[in-house]
Amino acid sequence: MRKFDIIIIGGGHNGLVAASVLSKKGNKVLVIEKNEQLGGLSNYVDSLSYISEEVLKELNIKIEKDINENYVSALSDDLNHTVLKINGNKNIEILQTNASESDQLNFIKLINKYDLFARTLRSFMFKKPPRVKSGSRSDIWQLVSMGLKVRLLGKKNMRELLRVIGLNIADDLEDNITDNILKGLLSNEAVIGTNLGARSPGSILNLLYNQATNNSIFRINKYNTHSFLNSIREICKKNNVEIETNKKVEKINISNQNVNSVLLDTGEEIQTSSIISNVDPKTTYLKLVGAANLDTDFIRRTKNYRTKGTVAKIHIDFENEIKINNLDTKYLSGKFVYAPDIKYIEHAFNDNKYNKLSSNPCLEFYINKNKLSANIYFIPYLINSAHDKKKILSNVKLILEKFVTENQILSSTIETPNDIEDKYNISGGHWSHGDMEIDQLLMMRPFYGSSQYSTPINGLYLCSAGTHPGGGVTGINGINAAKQLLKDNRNE
Amino acid sequence: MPKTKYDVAIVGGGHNGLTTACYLAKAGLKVAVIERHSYVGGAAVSRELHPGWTYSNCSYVCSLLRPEIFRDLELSKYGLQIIPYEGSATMLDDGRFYAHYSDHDLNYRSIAQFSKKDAEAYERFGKDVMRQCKIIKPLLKMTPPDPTSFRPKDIMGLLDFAKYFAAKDELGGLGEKEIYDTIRFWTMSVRDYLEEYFESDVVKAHLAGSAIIGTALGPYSPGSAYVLLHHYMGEVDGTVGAWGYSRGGMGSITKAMAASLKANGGDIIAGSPVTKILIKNNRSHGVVLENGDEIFADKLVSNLDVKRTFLKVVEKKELPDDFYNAVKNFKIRGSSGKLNIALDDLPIWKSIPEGDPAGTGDLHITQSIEEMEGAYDDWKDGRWSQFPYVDMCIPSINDPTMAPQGKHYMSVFVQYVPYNLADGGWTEEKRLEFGKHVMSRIGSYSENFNDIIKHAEIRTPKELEKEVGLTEGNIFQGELTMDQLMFNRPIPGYAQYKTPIKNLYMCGSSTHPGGGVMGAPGANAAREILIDLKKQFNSHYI
Repeated sequence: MRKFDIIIIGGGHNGLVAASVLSKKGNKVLVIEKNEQLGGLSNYVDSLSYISEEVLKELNIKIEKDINENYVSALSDDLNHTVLKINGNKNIEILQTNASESDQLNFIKLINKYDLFARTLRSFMFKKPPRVKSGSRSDIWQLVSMGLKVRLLGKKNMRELLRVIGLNIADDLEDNITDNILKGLLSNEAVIGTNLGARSPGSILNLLYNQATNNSIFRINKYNTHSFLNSIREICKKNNVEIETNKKVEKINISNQNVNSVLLDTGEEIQTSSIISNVDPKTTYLKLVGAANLDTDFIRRTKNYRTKGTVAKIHIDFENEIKINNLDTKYLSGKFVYAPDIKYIEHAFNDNKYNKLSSNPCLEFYINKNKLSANIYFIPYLINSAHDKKKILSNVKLILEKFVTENQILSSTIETPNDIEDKYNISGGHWSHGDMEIDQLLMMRPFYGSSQYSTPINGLYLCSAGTHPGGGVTGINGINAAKQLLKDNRNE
Repeated sequence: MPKTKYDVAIVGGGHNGLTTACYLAKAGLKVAVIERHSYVGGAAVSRELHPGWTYSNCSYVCSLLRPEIFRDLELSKYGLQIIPYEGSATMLDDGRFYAHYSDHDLNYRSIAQFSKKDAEAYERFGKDVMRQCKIIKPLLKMTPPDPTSFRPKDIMGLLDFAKYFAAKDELGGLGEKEIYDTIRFWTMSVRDYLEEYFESDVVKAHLAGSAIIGTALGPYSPGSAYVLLHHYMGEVDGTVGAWGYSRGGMGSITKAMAASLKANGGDIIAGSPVTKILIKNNRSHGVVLENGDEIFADKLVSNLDVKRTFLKVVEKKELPDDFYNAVKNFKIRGSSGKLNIALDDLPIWKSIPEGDPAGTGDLHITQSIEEMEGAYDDWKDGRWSQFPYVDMCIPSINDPTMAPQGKHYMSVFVQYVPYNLADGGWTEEKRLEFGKHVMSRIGSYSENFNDIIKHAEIRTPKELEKEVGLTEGNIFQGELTMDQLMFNRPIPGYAQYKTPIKNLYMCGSSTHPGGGVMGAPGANAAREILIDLKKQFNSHYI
């Protein structure tokens, strides 16, 4: 029987990051990936807006920045589109819009307000979340320093942070601006990938969270995802990490609450004393570990962890290069959002609540010559029925026809949350391996008894987006999980 | 008008204003309550709006009133009697009903008809929610500390708060899991919360009802689980979770408070709408009434909601801009309607057999949480719900004083009804149409309902605003959402019953801990005033 120091289940970006951290310390590491291609869900993201200093330093890598200008265009049915140019975090220019002067001013003010709060959140985003009442000095210190960080905002800002953190995005927007397109644009950022509508409390928190992990409110393109992934693979290669693709882990074998080995679909059993699972928490516990090895209460919490995906992906090939009506071609390199107002988003969200396909979905898309790839929301994850993909396509077509004319669709592929679940083995096909709502964040991510990347099974750790700080291509989950494993091994 | 000067004058004679006044009068202060109507009570009133019938025409059941206040104000001595009632029921379209009884075994059997698993889960649910009630109870009485302040009082308050959560388990603190459970309970949607326990639609729908009453949130909205507490915290005679009618309608509560106030030397100046609070050098010193009279007092307390107080009776120039804007953005949304119906006879329900104790409690019409969320979707779009959540009760079954012998009074609470209709605002026709819609919904569950209606008073949020003065007709004087609770209620930085104006206080449900006929905001405000006056006063509550 083959034997490794550490086995990493799943070759998503977090799994690879964990592998590079651990292999650097001289551990014999094996990564097992179900698919041909490594990278998991990060293959859906062409570029990243941010790679944190923590990650660059830990992995000792340099990633070339993309110097393209970043545009965000919010499409309007009357073809008076709003275009923003994003030069950086605090530098957002409104290039064209129908909104009034005061709306524009207040819009920028709102973004700056969120940016300030997101920066405060960022300072604990990249650390291991503290547990309350663990008694550990580092946890207590971290809790206190979190409190201090918030206090350092000053009275006025701290009050505002404590207010908006539980507020919904629609209310804050409606209190400050009147332009529908601007309201839709910001709401899009707050709700995409979630089970929240613009009027659901917690949508601002989600926005702040995204902004903190991406260091940008609009998730702009700055780094090439593939060069990030490639440099991690380089490290793995250099440190002799073994990577095996097209193999699926069927089971984690456990004896006396200790990790023992993994069983592959090929029938091979590989021995190890430490496993980091890059698979989402629900799949890890319910399928790989199995209910027999966990107590009832824990199983209940696992089952209650909410992982219903809401976004589908569509790739469309057009006959000719794509142009958007009434929009300058220089903006085509940017991001497009079709979420024309709060009510529109809310209606799309309403259908999702009842597991129905919205006939008027919201879109977020990118164009590359004659190719268009879009995130469609809300497309619910369905438990007992199949998606009508023809219907999804025709709904998307109806929207695109407003802006793209004299161009034929040659072919298209759609991946629904159910497809994502099948392809990547992610419960519910959820972008972030679980809803990013207060009760599933920080020390409560994924849930009680499974925080700080540890699990009730000795030697088993989690590093997927289902751990703090959640989704997005950050690599933080991988680093933190690896560090936790190393720390525990040292203490033994 | 005699030119007396009061120590404290309270603007608005709702139950909280009266509670504040009673405590202050008992502490020996010269107190007056100034009320717009000829009667006191605010939204806790009994009114004869049809000859022979007494309507509890706004709030309709008593459960949240703090027992300590009950004792401090000697409300039983002044005539308040609470009649506990048994059970509640949800009627289904298919002719079945789910009844909830206080008797453990009956309740188990009732749930087991729908799901045996749910009947088992209810034990766990009941225990968990009760635990949450016990955790939150001490917080109701507390003046929320200001987390941004460095004053010793706030720091001590925060430390107390932290100690409450962080004390070692053996010293009565909460365990790690309990703390997480509490955070989850405060932030989750009631749907998600209930789905962790139950599988049957009707059981979930029955329990979720109390989480949406009066709020502009649907059962799928995060933060709605917390509102469950406002139902479960009910306390009649110290029994957590029990409900009751006050004999003679909800007005009996405020009548008893008024009597208690008078007995302690307080004045009630009724029929005197306040048009302006007098402020000089950032200090309030009196009020101007509609007839031009002025009443002076060292300290003023507003029982009006925060919007009405600072947008209507305090001039804008007296307020800091930030504060004024925060008040303008305060969320106070009308989402509920009410029908008060005089009945010739007792309704015969298609599903609930005559004489079943469940029929004497509150009766709900709802099929599932999904249907309730759909009702909320209608509200969001500016329509009254096509399938509203209806909460009915017939107090006259237990309380003969409400209607002539053999006749009955029925209170019907309707969720959701918007304050503004999307299709051009409320008109008299639309109000009647709304009433008809609700009555036909109820009629379809009854054999005789349509034939026994003698009179119906139909109230939309507009009527509620007009009569009681609640902005937009919001029954809680402001949404009970995370951004408006605890130290955020009503305005961050002004959660301690004080305002930017010196000597001007707030005591309404806009303040912590919020709405319901609870009396806690009023009593908390009284405590703050007494502390500011350096007055010692002993009571069960303070």
